[in-house]
Amino acid sequence: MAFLDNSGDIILDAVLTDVGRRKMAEGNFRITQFALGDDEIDYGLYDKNHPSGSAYYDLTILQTPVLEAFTRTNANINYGLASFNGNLNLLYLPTAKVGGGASDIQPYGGGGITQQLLTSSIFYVSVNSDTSDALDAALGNSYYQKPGTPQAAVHIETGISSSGNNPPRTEGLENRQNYVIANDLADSNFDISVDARFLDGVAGPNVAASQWGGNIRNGTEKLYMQQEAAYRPLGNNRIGLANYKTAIIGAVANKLEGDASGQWLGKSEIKGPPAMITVLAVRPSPDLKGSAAKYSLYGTVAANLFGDTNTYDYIDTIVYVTGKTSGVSLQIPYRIVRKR
Amino acid sequence: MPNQFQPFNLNTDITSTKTLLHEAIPLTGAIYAFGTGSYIEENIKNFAHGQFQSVYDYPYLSSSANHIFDLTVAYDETSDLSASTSIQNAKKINMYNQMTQVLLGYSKDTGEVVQKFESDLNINNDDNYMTSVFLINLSRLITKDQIKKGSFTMKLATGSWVDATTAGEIITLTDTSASADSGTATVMGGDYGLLYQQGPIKEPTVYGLVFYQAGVVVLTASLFQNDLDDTLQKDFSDQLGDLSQNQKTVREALTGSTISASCNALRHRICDISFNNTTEINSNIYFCRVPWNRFNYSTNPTYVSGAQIQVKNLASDTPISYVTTIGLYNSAGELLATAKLSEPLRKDPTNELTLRVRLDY
Repeated sequence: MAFLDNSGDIILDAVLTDVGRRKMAEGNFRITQFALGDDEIDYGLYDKNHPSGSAYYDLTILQTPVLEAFTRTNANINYGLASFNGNLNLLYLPTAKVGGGASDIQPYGGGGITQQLLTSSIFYVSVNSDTSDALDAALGNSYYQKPGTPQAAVHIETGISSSGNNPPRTEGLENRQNYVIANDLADSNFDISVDARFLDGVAGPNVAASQWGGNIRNGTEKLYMQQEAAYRPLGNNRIGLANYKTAIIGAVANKLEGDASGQWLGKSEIKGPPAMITVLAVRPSPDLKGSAAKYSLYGTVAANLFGDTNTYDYIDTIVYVTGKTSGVSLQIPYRIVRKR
Repeated sequence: MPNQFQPFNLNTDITSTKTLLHEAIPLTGAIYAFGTGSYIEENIKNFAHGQFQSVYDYPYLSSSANHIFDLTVAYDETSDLSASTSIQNAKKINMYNQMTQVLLGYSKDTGEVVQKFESDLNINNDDNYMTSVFLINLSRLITKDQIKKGSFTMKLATGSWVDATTAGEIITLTDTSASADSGTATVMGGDYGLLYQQGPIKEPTVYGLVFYQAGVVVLTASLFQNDLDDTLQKDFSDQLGDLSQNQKTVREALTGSTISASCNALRHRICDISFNNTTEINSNIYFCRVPWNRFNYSTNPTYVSGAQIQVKNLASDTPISYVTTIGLYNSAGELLATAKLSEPLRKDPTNELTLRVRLDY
């Protein structure tokens, strides 16, 4: 009987995060659950065709050096290991994509909230009416988000992002049912995590009033935005990044069917079976409306962004979107702008 | 991320432990020897109030310097050294009273007066008084939670000033009779043990006390008094410009020198101090039990190519994931602590894992 090879002992280096230290100082430190992460792993290194056989498929992955624990920014498990109700036969997992680029998430019919479009790979948010007027002239009203009830919002779509039409989006919703619904991969809600220094609320769709697809020929795709009063306040920090707080928005079933003509391809970022669609608007903190102080501290002041006669103060920030069922995640860059 | 959390069973998955860690602390005399130390007195700080002297491990004006101990001398008001003519008489009495009231407390049967240091383990029997003492207050930085009982050793030169460190004139004091469960007494300032001379026994055999939690060493002044009448030993201290005379017996130093000058003389005679400190670590151990049917997939963006899982060719293939991090969360999903594995650990439905995460406080 040979000895076990224990040359690679597993050693744990556990540290409190800054949130943990704060909770301990508040007398509110109580661990009740755990999660596992694999942020360092590049699964692209898994070589299913290694000539030496299956024992060598993950050799490179197992040699990945692991970083020490962080205590502040990026302390979190950014993606993490997941379980899907014990289902071990999944071959495809959903992804989340944001519209507004070259391939837009556009409704066939009119009405509902307009999709916000990207400007230089970033979404603009205006903090006051002066800025809105200037952005209207410089960009057009689909390219920025107004304060209050927005006229445009970011569209986020989830589903199986097929490569090579495998699996395909079908006319009818069989593949949506087979690959998404049957495997419980549709996210009815999303965690929206924002930097609470700059943003103080988020809004999602009015789910009851919205509909997306069901029949591509009847023009029933409409997403209605929650009104200004329905902005969700920010709650606990659920992603572990310093200064971030999290709120929840809902989502609408994405039932946009495929069709033989391929007309749907210009209407969706997801090229396979769809899952859900949602819209997102963010609300800037009140102190960003009238004062340049935070812009000076965290951003840029007096920038000529568009070559017009105006100068702007702005702060760039990232909003993190995480599906509460499938764990799909997305990072959306925002620019909060104030005309000087 | 509900599919990414696994709840702990609070009754079976979490336990608490207490661990005592010890470090060996050698305080070599070369650092603080009077006049000849490594830093030629730049690591010795005297204060305008003159009540004690601080010793650092590096010139104290540097931000790299660490405080290692304080020295002072003290005597009780009932000591025959106490007199209005003694230099800093009130301060020496105050130091004695301060240290005894903090370490020993008050004697209630004698009208709320402070206890006196005694060279035995019964502080209430009012005998074996040590009324004239040198005090070494070790820094919390090096003693940590307490000095390990039975580990304290101190070498002292007891000869004349010139040949103080000559072989045969150096004695070694230890608390070797003390241990975690015997050989000590407990008073207001914590546990204390007796410092005996190692080797040939001089009289009295106990020359001092060590207070383990407080980190205070008390040495009786008689240690340096070879002859009680002071007729033979005339040079406990020999410092130029030390008030009325350079050369002094220990009795003359305690009455006729400042506290700082007496501390200098003591430093001239401390060869080495060594002990083990103790750090008490309380730990919670979390057993992260990963069942066979959990955590076999990943939401890592590289996990899929297109939409297909990279580690699978067919839906019926075994899913595989690799663990590098464990996150500990509260019920609100806030990350309170993270632990890292030293190497990726493969997880698939053919194995179950129990990962042991220790959080120290």
